[in-house]
Amino acid sequence: MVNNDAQLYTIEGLAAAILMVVTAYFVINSTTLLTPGDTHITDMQLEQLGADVLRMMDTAPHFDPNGANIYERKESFLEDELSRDFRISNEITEFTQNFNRTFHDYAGESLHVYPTVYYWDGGNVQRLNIWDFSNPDAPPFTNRDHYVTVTRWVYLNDPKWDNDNKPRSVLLEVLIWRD
Amino acid sequence: MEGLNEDGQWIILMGLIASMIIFFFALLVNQSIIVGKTTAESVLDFPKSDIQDLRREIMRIWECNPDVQDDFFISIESLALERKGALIHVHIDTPNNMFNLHFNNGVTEYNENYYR
Repeated sequence: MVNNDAQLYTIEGLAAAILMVVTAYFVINSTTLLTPGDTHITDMQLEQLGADVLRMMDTAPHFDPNGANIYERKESFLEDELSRDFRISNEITEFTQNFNRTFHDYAGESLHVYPTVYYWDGGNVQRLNIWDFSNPDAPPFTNRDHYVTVTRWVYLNDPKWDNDNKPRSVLLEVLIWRD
Repeated sequence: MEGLNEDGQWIILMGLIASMIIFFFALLVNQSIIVGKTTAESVLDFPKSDIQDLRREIMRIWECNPDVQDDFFISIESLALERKGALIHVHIDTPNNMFNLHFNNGVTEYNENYYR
C-alpha cells in the first residue's frame, strides 16, 4: 500500500542520486583526449618561443660605432647571415652551421629548426636556397613531424646573393618542431 | 514520520558536507581543463608577433633608408599575401614624417599612424 512513511529517506536518496550523477559527469568530463589536431597549448608555447628567438637573432648584440651607416652600426645576426652569397655552396654550409648554433644557443638543444627565405623578385615570390641538408646537426624535415611556423621580416641593405645589389625585405620562415 | 530512527544525524550531515566538497573540487578540475585550452587558442589566433615584427621592419627600413618610397613595400605586401595570407598596406607620408600601416589577416584588423 502507498503511505507517507519515510519521506525524508526518499528525499535524501534523491539528493544523493543527483549529487552522484552530476559529480560523475564532471569527473568524466575532466579528462581530455589529446589528438593531433588538439595541441593548442604546446603549439602556443612553441610559437611564442620561436618568435622570441627570431627576435633575439634579429637584434644587434651591441651598437657598433665604427659602422659606415646606421644599418651597419645596428646590424643583427640575421641581417648579416642572410646577406651571404648563397650561390656559393660553401656559404650555404657556413650559414647552416652558424644558424643552427645560434638558434640552439637561444632555444635549447631539444628543438629542431628548418629555415626558408622567400623574396619578391618584382613579379613572383621566389625561394632562396640557403640550407645544407648534409649538415649532421640539421636533421632533415619530414612532413610527419608536428611543427609550427614562425616568420620574421629581415631587411637586407646589400644582399650578396642578389644580382641587383639593392636593399630588400625578405621573409624568413622557420619551421620548428620537437623530437 | 513514524518509526524513523533519528540517531546519527551528525554523521549524515557530515556525509553531505563531505560530498559537497568533493563536488566542488570536481568542478574546479573540470573548469581548469577548459581554461588552458581556450587561452592557448585565443593566443594562437591573435597575430601579435606578426604585427610587432611588421612595425619593427618598417621602422628599420625607414631608419636605414629615410627616402624610401611606397613601392619598396610591394615586396612585403606580396610576400605577406602569398606566404601568410595577410593583407598589408604601408604608406610612407614623408611631408608629415609619418607612415600608416594597415594589416588584416581575416581575423584581426590593425591600423596605425606612426609619427616620427
